[in-house]
Amino acid sequence: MKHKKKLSRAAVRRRVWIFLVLAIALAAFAVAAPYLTPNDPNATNSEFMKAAPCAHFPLGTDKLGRCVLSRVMMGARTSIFSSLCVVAASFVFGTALGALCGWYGGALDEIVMRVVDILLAFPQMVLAIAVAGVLGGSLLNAMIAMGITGWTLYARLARSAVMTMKKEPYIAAAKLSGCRTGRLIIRHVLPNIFGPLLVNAATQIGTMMIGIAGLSFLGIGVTPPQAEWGSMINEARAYMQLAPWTVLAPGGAMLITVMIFNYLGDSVRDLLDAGGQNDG
Amino acid sequence: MGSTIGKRLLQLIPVLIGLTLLVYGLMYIAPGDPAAKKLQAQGVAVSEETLKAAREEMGLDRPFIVQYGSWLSGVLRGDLGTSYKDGLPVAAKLLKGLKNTLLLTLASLLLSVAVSLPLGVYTAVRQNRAGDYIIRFLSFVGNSMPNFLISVLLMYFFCIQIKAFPIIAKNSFQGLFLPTLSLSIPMMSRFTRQVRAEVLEELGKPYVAGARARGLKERYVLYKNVLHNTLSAIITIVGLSVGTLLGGSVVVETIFSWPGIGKLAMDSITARDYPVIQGFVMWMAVIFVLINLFTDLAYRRLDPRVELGEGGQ
Amino acid sequence: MDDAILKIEDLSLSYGGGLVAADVSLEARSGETLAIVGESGCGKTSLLKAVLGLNGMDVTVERGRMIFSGTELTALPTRARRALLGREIGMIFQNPGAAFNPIRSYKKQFEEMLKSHGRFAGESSYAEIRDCFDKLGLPDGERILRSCPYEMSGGMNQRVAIAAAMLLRPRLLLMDEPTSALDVTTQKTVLDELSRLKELTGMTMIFVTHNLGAAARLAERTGVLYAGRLVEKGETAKVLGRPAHPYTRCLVSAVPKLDGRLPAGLEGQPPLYGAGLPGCAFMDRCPLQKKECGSRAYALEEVEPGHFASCAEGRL
Repeated sequence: MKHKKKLSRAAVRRRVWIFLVLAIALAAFAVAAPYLTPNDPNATNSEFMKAAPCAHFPLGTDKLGRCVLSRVMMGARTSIFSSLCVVAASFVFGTALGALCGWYGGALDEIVMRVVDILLAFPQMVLAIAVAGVLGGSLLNAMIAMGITGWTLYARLARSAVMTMKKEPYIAAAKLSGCRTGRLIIRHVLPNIFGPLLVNAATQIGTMMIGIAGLSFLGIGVTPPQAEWGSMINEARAYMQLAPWTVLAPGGAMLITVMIFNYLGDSVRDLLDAGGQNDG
Repeated sequence: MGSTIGKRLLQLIPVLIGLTLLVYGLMYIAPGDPAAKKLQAQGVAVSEETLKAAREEMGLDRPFIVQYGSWLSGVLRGDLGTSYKDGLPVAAKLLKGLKNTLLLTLASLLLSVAVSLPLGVYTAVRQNRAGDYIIRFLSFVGNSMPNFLISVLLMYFFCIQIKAFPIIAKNSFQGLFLPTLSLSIPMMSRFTRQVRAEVLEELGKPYVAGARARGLKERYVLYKNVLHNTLSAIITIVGLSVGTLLGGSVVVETIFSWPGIGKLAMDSITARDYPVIQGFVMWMAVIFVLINLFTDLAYRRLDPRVELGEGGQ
Repeated sequence: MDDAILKIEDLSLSYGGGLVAADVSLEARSGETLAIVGESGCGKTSLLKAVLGLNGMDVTVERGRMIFSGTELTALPTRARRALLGREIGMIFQNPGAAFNPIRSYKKQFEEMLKSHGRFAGESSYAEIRDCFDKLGLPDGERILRSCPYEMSGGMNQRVAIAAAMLLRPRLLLMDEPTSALDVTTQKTVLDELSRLKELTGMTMIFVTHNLGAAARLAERTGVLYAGRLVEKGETAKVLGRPAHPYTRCLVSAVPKLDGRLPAGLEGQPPLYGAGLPGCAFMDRCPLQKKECGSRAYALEEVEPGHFASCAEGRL
């Protein structure tokens, strides 16, 4: 009574590699962006405002005459880096905190879990908007706003894994033989949940990117003149009829980037599922 | 079941206190002076004395805890305060906006479910055929697009290119259409994939083979049995996305000028209108918790095993 | 003259890429019960799956034919094959809790079943269902109808499944180890019910089991399957009473001994996909192994009237 197996393990692994390579290429591109831009992303040109794509400006210019392509490339840098940062920070912080809670229990556990409940009792994006709005528009504030709730899932995962593992006899044995708590957790417990944590991280990158861009779009994230896809779209929508490339370029770039990271997350999840399946 | 409801509502209290404290605290340390903003809005010249007077009047010169405490006691008396911006009672402003947001949210949910349920079932039944791949790709794209981008594109297409709708949404069905579509597209993309996964899993269960072996007509198998069993999971999925929906509504309402609670919140944030922001946070939390509770209850009702505490068989 | 409801001729099946049954020829005659016995993995479940022909069971017919009441099953289009399910060919599954939707009431599910066959007639149908329950010795039919499978024990669920089969009255009832998932006491109850079903309806049944006692009780004819090949078949009394093949002899003498050891020949496992091996697949475990066994071609020979075996060394 089996349904057709979706993909063999090898095929899934191949997918993960493809999208991992693409994602890394994107990140590398983001690093190199300042050196690759055809024009200065912040240089305004009064003669070329809202110009259509041409040889000098491959994707046209915006209302201040700035090169759209250059700004999109710099925007890639902002978006990709900030998202990766937030996800990495949430990952480390959330996992560490969750592991500690699971291991020591007691008051620490109670307090942290209550905080998590409170944070999750509220729609995440709305809280981010409130926080970012109140703190003021800047990339850092936007990252903080998104990060405030981002660590919670890692914490929960790590906590429950540590709590289950704590009861295992081999953990007691390791403890008795003098293994320090920190090393114990890192080397014995965490590798078991690395999979789900990684899946969560991969899928979170796309969410973070969209979130930060959304905040910038609303004006409470990255503010102009810094190049960021969300704020570019916001700026450009007023004159979209006259210069649609000013919206379509950052929009398209955003879509492709998010799709690549989402595909990556999906493939990692498939890999995990395929690994756990019994064949035959 | 009554005890669950009671327990959950009781848990609401620390949540509300925690959240409002957090937001209040942030507003306290944040840049931007609400007194100055209010004076500017009123057209009064900003000077040392006027600022001081305004701050005293608004109670902003008191220590943080006192400010929070007085707000809290006001809430317990049912008074959410008055807006800094225009002096109207917060509760009334929120209520008006809430009505519109609920309308938008409900419409989006209905549209999303109405589209994604049949699509999800279709792609599950026709797994790995052409239709499945196309729909799955489209839903992947839809899920990866930020809702503000969708809103802008829709606005461009409908309002400017084909001039079917006005740019500023009127409070009517016509005005509801574009915001609903903007909110629904990412939602139905996600739903379709999740429905598909649930239905696929259900189709692999032994009772499906058993039902077919008894000669059950396929539509009975699919709709009365498979879909029935997946309904609880689907309701959970829908319930869980309310949060995303509420978040998305802030953006969409702002873009289309839909007079909902999200737009109100954005305007208040820009204007540093503290009482409205506080009221907004509180209301959102209450709504959110209530919806989660409702989802949980519906889930239990549909899958009786959960009620009795049994694992699945 | 030919009253075989199901005739399997030289059937070879593959599953998951390997040969799970080879050159199987069996007959289920009208009104009779045919038992197919063997160890786990010998291919008996695959045989039933092939006959049932449900989508997604992944059993492929490599060679041979299955003829149901004169119709060649593999030649039928899917839709026609599907139309046979329930009405002409029925099945009782091994897992009792899994044949019906666990979280919907039996009443609704029986109703859907009858509606699918165009036999639902409101109140009188429920009376008919309760009547079936009574005849089969199921207590308190009304309560059963109101319950959901997850609320009832495995034994009860299996008995309800049998009642459903009785209600539909298929011409051929396939049963895949209906009692293996149940405890010993419940097994007896279910077997009693199957007996009653047989008496009341005279249905043709194919009973797959590894329980020789059950086979002896219910089946007029028995086939013994080993590693995908039929090593012995015929009238049950002869096959189980005077077994010819060494494997059948081992099975029959496998009464649990006090010291817990299995008789010689039953340690170890049958080879996987043994049907594809040259020579006798039982060779390595056979206490009567001879040198020629490795090159011996498979063929069923008549050992006595109504009794066939592929090797007669086991005869005393």
